[in-house]
Amino acid sequence: MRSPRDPIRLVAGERSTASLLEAYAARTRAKAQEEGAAWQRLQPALDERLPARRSFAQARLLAGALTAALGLFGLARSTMSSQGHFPAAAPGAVDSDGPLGLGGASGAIDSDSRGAGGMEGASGAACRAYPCV
Amino acid sequence: MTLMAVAAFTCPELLDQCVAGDRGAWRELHAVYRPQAVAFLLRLGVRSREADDACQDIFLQVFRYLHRFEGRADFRTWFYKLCISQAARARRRALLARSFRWISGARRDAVATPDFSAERSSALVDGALATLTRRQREVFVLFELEQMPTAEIARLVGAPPATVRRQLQEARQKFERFIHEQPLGRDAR
Repeated sequence: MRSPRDPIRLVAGERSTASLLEAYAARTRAKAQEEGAAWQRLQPALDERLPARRSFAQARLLAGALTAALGLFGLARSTMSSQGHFPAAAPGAVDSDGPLGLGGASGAIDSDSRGAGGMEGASGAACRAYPCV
Repeated sequence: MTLMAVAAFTCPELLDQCVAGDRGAWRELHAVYRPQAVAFLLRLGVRSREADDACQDIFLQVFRYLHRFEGRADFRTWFYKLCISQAARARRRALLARSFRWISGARRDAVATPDFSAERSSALVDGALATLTRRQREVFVLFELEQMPTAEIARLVGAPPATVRRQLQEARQKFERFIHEQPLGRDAR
């Protein structure tokens, strides 16, 4: 481990310096191994907990993804309805309880286009059952 | 474990297994190199409580970048290079923490007390190493304590071998001067 142009190492030279260096090397090595041994002792316990931790992490990931998806869906829906993509009382609202087309009548009266089509449809049906005055 | 044993241990097959994601291989690599890394970090002047964090960061980097290691250089050289850069980072962090403690007026006992106060000789070596510049200390520790040849150190630090030998000589002079000026060092003679 020594090339020809390298000087002689201190550990192979003067005794006092060599012993100091050896003691220091041994001390640092022992310290490192002490800490390493602590890790080794900890390892079986960590391994034991690994499957439970993994499934818990997966469940949390799934829950997070679902929450994010629901949030995005809600956001997209509210954005689209505020831009008028879901007209409140378009003639022939799909969710109407009443016959198609009839539900629209109340929508025409109610100029608030933010209302949900289904509800307006319901009121259309109500008008049919109990004629609106 | 001696340096030769470590070098022999890090066979390319083990590294390939690590890259392939074999957990057992990772564990072996960690078991062999962790004590080496911690000891090296301590010798470079990283305090023991920071050495643990620094060591974790080193292995994180090994885990991330081992697939990029092409085997043109010795793995040990590559690994020690990571250790050196991590040691510099740890020292910077420690300096920042010390400055913060100084500014906030917190106690400074943790700064002044050396890690090896229990052993006077180790404390003496630590004191002598503290007189060296960062590069001198790296070269000195790599040559004297990690038993690396200067050619390998030159590759590691990115300097010509002649420069490394000169830095080593300066480091040795400073180191010996400090040792011989101390009462314990004179007694040892």
